[in-house]
Amino acid sequence: MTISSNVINQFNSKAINFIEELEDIPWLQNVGKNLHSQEVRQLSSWNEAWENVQNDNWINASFHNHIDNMNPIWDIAYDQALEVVSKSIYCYEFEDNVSVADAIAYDVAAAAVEISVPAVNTFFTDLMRWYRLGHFPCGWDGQYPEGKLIVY
Amino acid sequence: MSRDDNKNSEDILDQLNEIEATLLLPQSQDYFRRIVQEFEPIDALEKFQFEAARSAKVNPRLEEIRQELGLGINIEGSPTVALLIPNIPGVESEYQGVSGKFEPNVRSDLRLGAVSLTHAEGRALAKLAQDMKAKNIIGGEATLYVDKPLCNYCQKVVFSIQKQYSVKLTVITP
Repeated sequence: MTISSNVINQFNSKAINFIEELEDIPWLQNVGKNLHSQEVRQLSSWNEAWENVQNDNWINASFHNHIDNMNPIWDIAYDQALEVVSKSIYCYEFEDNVSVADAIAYDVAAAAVEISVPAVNTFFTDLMRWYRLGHFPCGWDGQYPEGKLIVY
Repeated sequence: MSRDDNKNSEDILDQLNEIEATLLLPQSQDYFRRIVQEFEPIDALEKFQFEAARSAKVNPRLEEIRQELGLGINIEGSPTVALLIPNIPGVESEYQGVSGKFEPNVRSDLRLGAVSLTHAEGRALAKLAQDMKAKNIIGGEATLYVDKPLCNYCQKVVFSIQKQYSVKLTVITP
């Protein structure tokens, strides 16, 4: 992806690198494969993943800290993530005809804001680690901040 | 216990049974059972009636929509209904949205994320966005009435209509 110079001038280089990196992430390539990690709870199916995405624990964890979705980088990252994830052969449509790309785009956009406006909280930036490994972070086991991340 | 007391108790149990019979979703049925176990019958009934009254209080049309679609009373765990009334030149209709399996998802270019696509408020807003895009309209105002409080997710994303279509959105919830 080439980002125009007026956009580059607007954001810090970390944020630009982050957007450019999105095309190279192996989106969802390893879902269902064992992570061998005690750090997270792992799921074994898309059905479980969709249940967790809609669960209040995940919604509350995701929105525990304020993310400024009026920041212009939110839109750029959202659109770019939606495009690249939708193109992936591993992209999945849940039973409600909702694409997993819709869920991922929101996480990526929020991570872009965290990177662009360095903040104490790195919830979404931390999720990117699991996306980069080809997995889908999609739930929270417990009442955030207690408990742990759920990953498919 | 007097005969009147017995009669009242029977009435209360009948009303609770009637409420239970309207519940369509496992989560509302679970909620119903939990409250009936935890509270005295009269208190449980009052709690359900209080929750049910939220729809008409927010907007009487919400209660009508629930009845038209047979969605049962508005207790926790039941389907959510949203009504979007635009004040936008060129847009005539009002838009309804119902959560979960009671309505298909509506695709639009509105950035709602995955969760809100399945929520009543997201569906109503996506219908408006679809129409506005088709008619090449931006601007105006709209009021979104929802018969349950907005979840954290929707609180953030419903304002995409403001950001992307310049529609000044007012949200009214219980």
